[in-house]
Amino acid sequence: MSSGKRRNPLGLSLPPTVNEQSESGEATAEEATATVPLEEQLKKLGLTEPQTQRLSEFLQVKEGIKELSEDMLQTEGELGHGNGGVVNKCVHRKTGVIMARKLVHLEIKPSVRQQIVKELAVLHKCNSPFIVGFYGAFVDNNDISICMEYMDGLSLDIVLKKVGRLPEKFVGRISVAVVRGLTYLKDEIKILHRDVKPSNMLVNSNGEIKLCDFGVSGMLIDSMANSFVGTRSYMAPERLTGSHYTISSDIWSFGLSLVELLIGRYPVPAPSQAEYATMFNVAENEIELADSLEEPNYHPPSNPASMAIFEMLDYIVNGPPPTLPKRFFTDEVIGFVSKCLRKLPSERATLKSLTADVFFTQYADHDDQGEFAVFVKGTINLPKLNP
Amino acid sequence: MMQTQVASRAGYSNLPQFGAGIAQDIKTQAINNLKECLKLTTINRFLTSSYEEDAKSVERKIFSAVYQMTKIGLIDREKREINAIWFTFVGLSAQNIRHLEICSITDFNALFSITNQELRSLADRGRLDVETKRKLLQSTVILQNHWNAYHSRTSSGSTDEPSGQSTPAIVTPSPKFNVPSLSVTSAKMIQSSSMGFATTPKSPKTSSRLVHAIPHKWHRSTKFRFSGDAVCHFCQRPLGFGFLNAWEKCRSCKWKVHTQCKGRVGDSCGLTPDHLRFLFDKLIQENNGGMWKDPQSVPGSRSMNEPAFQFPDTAIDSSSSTNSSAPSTPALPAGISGNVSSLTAPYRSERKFLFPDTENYSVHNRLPILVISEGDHPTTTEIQQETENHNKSAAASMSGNIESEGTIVANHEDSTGSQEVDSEAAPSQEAVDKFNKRADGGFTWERHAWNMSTIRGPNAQASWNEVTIQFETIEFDKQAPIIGRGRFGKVLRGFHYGDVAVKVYTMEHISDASKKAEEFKLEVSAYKNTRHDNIALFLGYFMSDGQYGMVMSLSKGSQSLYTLLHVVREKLDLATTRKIAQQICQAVSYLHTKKILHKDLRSKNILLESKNKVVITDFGILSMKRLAHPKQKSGYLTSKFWTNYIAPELAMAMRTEYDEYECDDFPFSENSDVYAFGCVWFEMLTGALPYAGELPHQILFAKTQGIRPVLPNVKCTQELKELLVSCWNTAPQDRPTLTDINLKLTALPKKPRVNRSPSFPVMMKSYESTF
Repeated sequence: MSSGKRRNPLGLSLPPTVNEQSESGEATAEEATATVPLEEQLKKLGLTEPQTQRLSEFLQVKEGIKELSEDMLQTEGELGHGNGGVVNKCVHRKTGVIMARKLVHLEIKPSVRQQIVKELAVLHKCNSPFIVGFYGAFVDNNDISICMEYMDGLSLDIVLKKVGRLPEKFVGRISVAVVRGLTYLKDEIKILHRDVKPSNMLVNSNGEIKLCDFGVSGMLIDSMANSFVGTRSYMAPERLTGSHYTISSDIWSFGLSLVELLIGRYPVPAPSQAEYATMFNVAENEIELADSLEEPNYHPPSNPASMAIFEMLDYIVNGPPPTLPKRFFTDEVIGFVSKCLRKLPSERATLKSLTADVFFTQYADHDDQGEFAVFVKGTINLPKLNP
Repeated sequence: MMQTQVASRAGYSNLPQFGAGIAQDIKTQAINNLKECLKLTTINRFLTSSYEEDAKSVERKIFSAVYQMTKIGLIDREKREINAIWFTFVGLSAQNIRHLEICSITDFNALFSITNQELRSLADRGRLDVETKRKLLQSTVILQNHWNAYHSRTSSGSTDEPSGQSTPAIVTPSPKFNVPSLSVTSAKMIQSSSMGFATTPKSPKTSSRLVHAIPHKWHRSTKFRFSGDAVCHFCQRPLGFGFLNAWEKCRSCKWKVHTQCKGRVGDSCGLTPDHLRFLFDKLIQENNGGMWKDPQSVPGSRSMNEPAFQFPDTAIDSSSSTNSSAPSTPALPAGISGNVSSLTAPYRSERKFLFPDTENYSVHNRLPILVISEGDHPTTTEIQQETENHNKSAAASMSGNIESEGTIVANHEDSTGSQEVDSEAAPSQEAVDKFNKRADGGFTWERHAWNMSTIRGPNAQASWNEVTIQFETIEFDKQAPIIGRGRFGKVLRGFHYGDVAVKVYTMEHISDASKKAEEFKLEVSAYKNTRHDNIALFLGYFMSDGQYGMVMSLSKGSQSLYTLLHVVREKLDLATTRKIAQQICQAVSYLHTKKILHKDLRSKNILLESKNKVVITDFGILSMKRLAHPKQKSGYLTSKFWTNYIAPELAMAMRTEYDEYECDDFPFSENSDVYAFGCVWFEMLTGALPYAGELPHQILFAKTQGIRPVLPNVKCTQELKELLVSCWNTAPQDRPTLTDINLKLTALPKKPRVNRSPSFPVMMKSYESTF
């Protein structure tokens, strides 16, 4: 159970600066949800029948749980380390509901802790089939616990480690879910995700794909005792150079994640023709890269196998974005990904233009007859492949 | 690829027709020879096989063929073609070859005359893939090795040929052949060639040398890993990867060598040129100045009465005392100067010796050549044979971390010197005995004896005992024992003959259980000998049942500078800022004279007992190992805002993959502490962290791009601003020292009192009356 490592199964973290978050936007969202009954909200989302059903089931369970505290939960094992703390699998004693609990160690005054819990209450409003459900948060000693829906398939980076790469049809499904999740966060909750990456995309054996770990509480980030220097960055080039955070930055991270899922490796630095040739076991001249916007003067890092973090960051900013080889992937997905991975945010696709893309529409209302659910079930007990 | 090979072979067979005017048959023969050698199967074997005998013979064959090719006078075009054939066999694509040609690697001569590093960067620029690059480098190095070996053989044979090696151009070994412009810089070549660690041939009896004899602690990595383009420190050939190419790594000095090269490296652990130079400088200072002097006295810092240095001084102190007390031994100073000169310039008397030039020294920071005293090591004779073509030279170096354990042997070759050592009080009697067993002069420090504390003298262990506190004797506050939690441990409130703060450290980052105590002692040793008013008072340490910790004085009512600035949000006025900055400066520069680096200077590690009294803590603890533990899936867990303080060179050292035995520690230095000091100073002036509000990745990127923190409306003089900004110079050596900063801060005129007219009536002329 605990073999799977999951990072941050719930939504929080990430806003790099507190001020960037549009607080006014949150306030209006709160008012809106206060007045509009839940049923209407769900209707507005235009969900399919099974989606609505599952969502209302979840809300029913949640109603039975109400306030959470330390003694109500029994820890069953560790799911993984997050960049803020540990994630455990827990059982709610009274109802037997399985949850994922993220423990974040804070070093601040109790008053601030309560304030964080208040900020996290925004998560109660996130009712979408593409967002991980939230049961509640509570403070115990110096730790804050955030309890959320348990997704048995864990995160996509773990799935990826088990299967090597994901077939395009599944990636198509994932793209649809993520784009819809991001749209929901942006339009309904008025927040940006700020940390789109495979480890923040969770799957379960119902074939659902949900986002977690989005930037809800700026105060939480500020109060964490430790910070995290990732060895992989999904940050958009303009973010690294210090520009303002917009939805375009999330799109870049999304595009990079898709490439990673498709080729099975973190795509920085961009895989070369030769590398694709090894990957697909064909001769190098059979690999034809989609027309990459190559920077002619850019020298790639000396050794991609173990580069310095700064080389990786430098590559993101100055190197060409990764491209997929033609013929091994459909033109639709190549086009979709390259729209997301434009280095200039102004040239990058928006959530809206992505929903109009051929690749998106192809999978948007496609019923895969539970194929993805079967796939996820199959991966749950698989061991990890050797790196 | 196969097709290109066939094509170029076809082109190849046409070659002879170009050789107009030159002995056609020699050329044809040579070309055929090469062709024979360059059969694809042979090449593949050549590039993949380990260093076995038959591989060696293949190498030799290919080399002699290539060598012949270089000797027969070919026109440029032919040379280029042969070069292209070679590259094709190595596995380069036509595009790659074109790239190399553009980079003026048009023939073998050019190929031989560039260093491995240059070739690597060329290969990188040409976007060669990893495997091809490895093959290219490996094959080139092998050929270069042969070239060097061949050449040194020929030149050592011809004794009447003078300065052959020390001149940049290698002279034709045999006048029979017309060698076209073989300009090979010897200094460059020795770098990429396998250089033996030359033994000391019968040197003049009078010369006394320092001999370094620290055995390496080889560690055989069992994991299958790709070591990229790392090369063997000994033979400079790529280490390769996997189980096929066995290589080992020294745990102390991080050298990586092939298993088969291990025996030839000798006892050279821990040497870098920097250290030896330091040691020599010390020795000279010692001999010139006579008495020991404090190396740098820090103005304003207190508690400087005791000798500041630990190991090297003690070493030198005792050796010089033996020397000075023996007037019949004038050898030492001479020996030293000889050694010093040999560090920077090749021996004039020994022409055979190929010595890398000093620039290369500083670039590579590796030990090129080493003296191994005779009979000192089992492999000496072997080395002697192997390296008779090469030469002796002074040795050097000690890896950046002073804690590195090891042995240094001061080898006084004249017997009087050694007798003196015996009779005089050497730092450790045991060490002297040990040395006498090994050689007949000088003295030795045991490997384990060389760390910050034990090196201090015979009562080393006693000094440790003095500061050992039994964990059981500490009482802990039951209610609220934990005062604070840090990244690497926690701080508890305790009672040990008075209230104390107990810092308990986690040692889980050391996977080897037997090493934990050793590593911990190294960390504690930084504290053990610090006595400064602005440094937290160290009371003792404990080490029992997996509990590792230090007992420090508990300063009640103190708060960290961080709390003051960011939680209480107090604005510090300029005078207070200056006072605090000065005290930090004094404390850290005191540490620096003690050769202790703070490594983690930030406002949370600076405690304020009052506005007038600063206490700094938590120095010397941070390391890459600690940072990488607990192992995170895809990143490092750091203290909050740690990235805001780190110097660019530290930021650049963080790698995407960490391995306990593979990764070197951060390149900490005095200068990186200066950078951090600048950040703390900035924090006090502005009330905000440098790079405030940016994510770790953004900060890392900005730092490595040379972007400095912005100075908003800091209210201070231009001079101070410049000083502050100079702390953030990207090149570490361009930053000022803390001693300088302290001096400038002290010299700053105190702000004059504002002369306001008093609010009470005084007997003075009215303003009107002054006009």
